[in-house]
This record gives sequence, C-alpha cells and structure tokens, in this order.
Amino acid sequence: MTESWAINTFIIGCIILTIIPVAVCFYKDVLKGSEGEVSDL
Amino acid sequence: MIYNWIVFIIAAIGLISVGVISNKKIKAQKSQGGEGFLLGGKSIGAFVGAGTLMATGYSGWGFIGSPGTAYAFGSIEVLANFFFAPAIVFGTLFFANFMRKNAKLSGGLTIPDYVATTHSGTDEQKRLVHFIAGLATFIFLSVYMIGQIRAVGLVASQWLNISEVYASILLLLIVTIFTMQGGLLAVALTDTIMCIGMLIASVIVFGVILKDVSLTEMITAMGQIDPELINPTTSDPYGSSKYSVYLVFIYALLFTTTLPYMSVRFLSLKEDVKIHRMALYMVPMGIILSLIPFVGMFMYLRNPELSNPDSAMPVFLNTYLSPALGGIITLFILFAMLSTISSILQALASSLSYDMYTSIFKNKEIKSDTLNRVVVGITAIWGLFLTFLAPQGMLNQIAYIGTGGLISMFVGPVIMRAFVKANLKVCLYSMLTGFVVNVILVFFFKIGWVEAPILAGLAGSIIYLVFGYLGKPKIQAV
Repeated sequence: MTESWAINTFIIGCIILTIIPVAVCFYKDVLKGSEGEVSDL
Repeated sequence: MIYNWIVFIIAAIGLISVGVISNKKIKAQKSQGGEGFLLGGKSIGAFVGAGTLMATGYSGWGFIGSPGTAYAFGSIEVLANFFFAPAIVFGTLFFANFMRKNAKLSGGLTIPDYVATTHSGTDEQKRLVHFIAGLATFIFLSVYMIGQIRAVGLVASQWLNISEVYASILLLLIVTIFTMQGGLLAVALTDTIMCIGMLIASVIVFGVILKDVSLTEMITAMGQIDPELINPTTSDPYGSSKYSVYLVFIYALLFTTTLPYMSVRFLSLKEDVKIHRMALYMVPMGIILSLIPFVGMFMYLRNPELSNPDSAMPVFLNTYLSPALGGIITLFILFAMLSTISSILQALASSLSYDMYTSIFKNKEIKSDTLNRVVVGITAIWGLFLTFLAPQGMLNQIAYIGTGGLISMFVGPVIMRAFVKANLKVCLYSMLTGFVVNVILVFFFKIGWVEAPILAGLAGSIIYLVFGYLGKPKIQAV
C-alpha cells in the first residue's frame, strides 16, 4: 500500500473489479455450468 | 511531419476498410433477417462488445483532460477516472442481459425505441414517447458532439500541422465514411481496433513513467511538495466533501446504462454471447486505461511550472518519448476521440432516420440502407455546422447539460423499469421530471456536473417508481 488514500482506494478497486467478474465467471461456467446469463436483475 | 501524415493515411485506409468489410457482413446477414445498419445485425461478440464499450466510455479527451486534472488536483483524479472501469463492467454485467432480453421481446432497435416499446400504452402514446426520446437524443448528443469535434481538431491540427478547421473536417470525413459504410457494426469493430491502440498507448506511457520513478517514490515526493495532492481532504474538482468522488462511480454507471450511444451496444450483442465473459475481457482493459492520469502526477513532479495543466500529456509525449513513438501515441489518442465521435454520430443518425422518422410517419421504417447512410452524412454536416457556429464560452456547460440531461431523462424508463413495470404516461412524466430538474439544478443552483444528473435522475426515478407502482393495478385491470 502507498501513503495516499486515493491511490490505495484505486488499488483496492482494481482488485475488487477483478474479483467480481472472475467470481461470476467461476460461478456460471464451473459451479453452475449453465448456458444462461448472470443476472436479469 | 511527413511521418505523421504517412501513419495517419495508413490508419485512415485501415478504418475505412473495416467499414467496407462491415458493410459486406451486414449485407450477408440481411438475407437472414438481421437488423443490419442500426444494430450491426446483432452480430457483436464478447471481445468486440468489450472493446467498443471501453473505447467509447473512456473518451479520448480523457487522454488529455484526465492527466491535466491529475496535474492540477493530484491523486483524486486517478480514483475518479478509475471509477469508469467498474461502472462500465458492472453496468454491463448486471444490465446488458436485462436490456437485451427486453429489446428482443419488444423489438426495440435503438434506446428511444427501447424506451417506447418496453412500456405499455396506446399507439399514440408510444409514438409520442418515441419521438420525445429521439428528439432529446438528437439535441443533446448534437451538443455533446461539438466538444468532441473541437477536441479532435485541436489535437490533430498540432499533429498534422494544419488548421483546426481542416483537421476537424478531415477526421470527421473519415469517421463519416466508415460509419456510412457499415453502421453500428463498423463503429464497434473500429472502436475495438482503437481500444487496442489506447491500451498500447497506456502501457507505453505507464512503462516510461515507471522507468523514471517508482509509484511509491512518486507519491512520497508529491506528498512532500503538497500533501493535499496525495491525501486530499476534499474531492475537488468533483465536490467539496472528501467522499464526493464516489459519485463519479454512480454517474459513470448511469452513463453506461442510459446514454443511447453506450447502451445501444447491449441491444446489438449476439444472442449467444456470454455477458460475464465479456465483462472479464473488460476488466484488464479498464485497469490499463485507468493508468493514464498518472501522467499528470508524473509531470507535476518533473515539471510543476506548466501554465496549462491540460498540456501535461502533450509535454510528456514531446519530452519523454521519441518523435516516432510520440506520433504513434498521438494517433492512439486521436483514435480514442474518434471512437467516441463515431458512436455519437451513429446514435444521432439513428435518432433522426429511425426514431423521429418512424414516430412521425406512423411506424413506416426506412428500409433502405442508402437512406440511413445519407442521414449519417447529413448528421456529420450538421455536427460540423454546429461546431463552427456554436458559441465557445457556453460549450462546457451545454455539453454537461447534454449528457446530464439525457442521463436524468432515461434513468427511470431504462433502469427503474427493472423494478416496476410502469406505463407510457409514467415513462413520459419521469423523463420530463428528470429533464426539468436537471436544468433547474444546473442553471439556478450552480450544482456540480456530476451531482446534477444524479439528483435529477433520482427525481425522475422517484416519479417512475411511485406512479408506476400506483398505476400497476389499473394496467393489470386493462
């Protein structure tokens, strides 16, 4: 982590941004193995 | 200079060739009943979908304006610019499929058409909502395009050593040719090529910075000059509170899901495309494009005496890169600007040739692609006409009202539609409320350009949800 809260938030944001779509892909393609889509709200 | 012209001519030939190829593809698909010009024959796959959304969302001016803001305000801009990445990714992940399915059921071909056809009501009401949404799209995006054309003229004139007027005309001509050729498919394919260029530019630029100074060293050194630059106590220029910057995420999310030139891409995706995989392609694109504002911080460290913060990127390119590499990066910056202009041009033309035309002439759709192409040409001339005649001083404010006005009008019918199925009357009230509140906030309360569309969109959404919910039993009874 750096001395800047804004840059730290940016780094954490990048990690969250990566994790969520990867988790959704893992859920859809591996766990569920569905042909459907992620969300219809 | 000759080198820049050679690079430019090769790139222009490449982009126009993509338009020709797209045209052939559309013609081949038309025999299978695909909607070619407006939705690219619904043939856009995951990678192209990701590329076109990212290239359009990260407007080219971000390559100049964002480093400029980071130069003036520091690390807050890195965070603000980054918020566009999760907003586009999550907007796609959670709304694309919803909108695509609704459009498929209702037959909507554009966002104004989508708004009109996904709400229940009489044919007259449908045409009225379709027309108003199309008219709003045409007016607001026309204004928005002025700024984009002027920006591209400014950068290209310096790169090619010609006047801004000639540079604007030349680049708009190229965009118009490939958009006329292949419609949305050509726009999406060229966007993806441009997105790859933007990614290469970001990687090179960030690599050059890291070769000179590490990230932690840069932050520490900036903190010693001015602690506010690395640990801001306000979100200036995004708001007075420390956390106002988070509103940029909400704004960007609304920008992705409601602005016609962004969200029409959701309607143009292939039926079998997997949205979650598309989102996965977007993640590295978004993160890499978010590195650009670091140029501003780096330049502040190395050259804190720049009179104009917006010159941070041009000075960086001239100082730290070879002329050849700097020329290529400038081309990629122009690409980023052109991708946004092509998307706006396509959305503008379809609002005229499809939305307003069909709503006035009782659903008589223009069948001929030739007419659609002519309208693209007319729209480009209209854009140029406005660019050189519109007053300079008010442009920024009008541009904010343009995108903000559209966002605040469409939040209710597009996003709240997921929670309540309102009718066309409520849809219209919601749009008008969003528009009026946005204008009042911008003109009479001097509220920030990020806050105004969010608050106005909230007002429109409340109208949509409350009246939509109250009107529900009546709709069911009918």
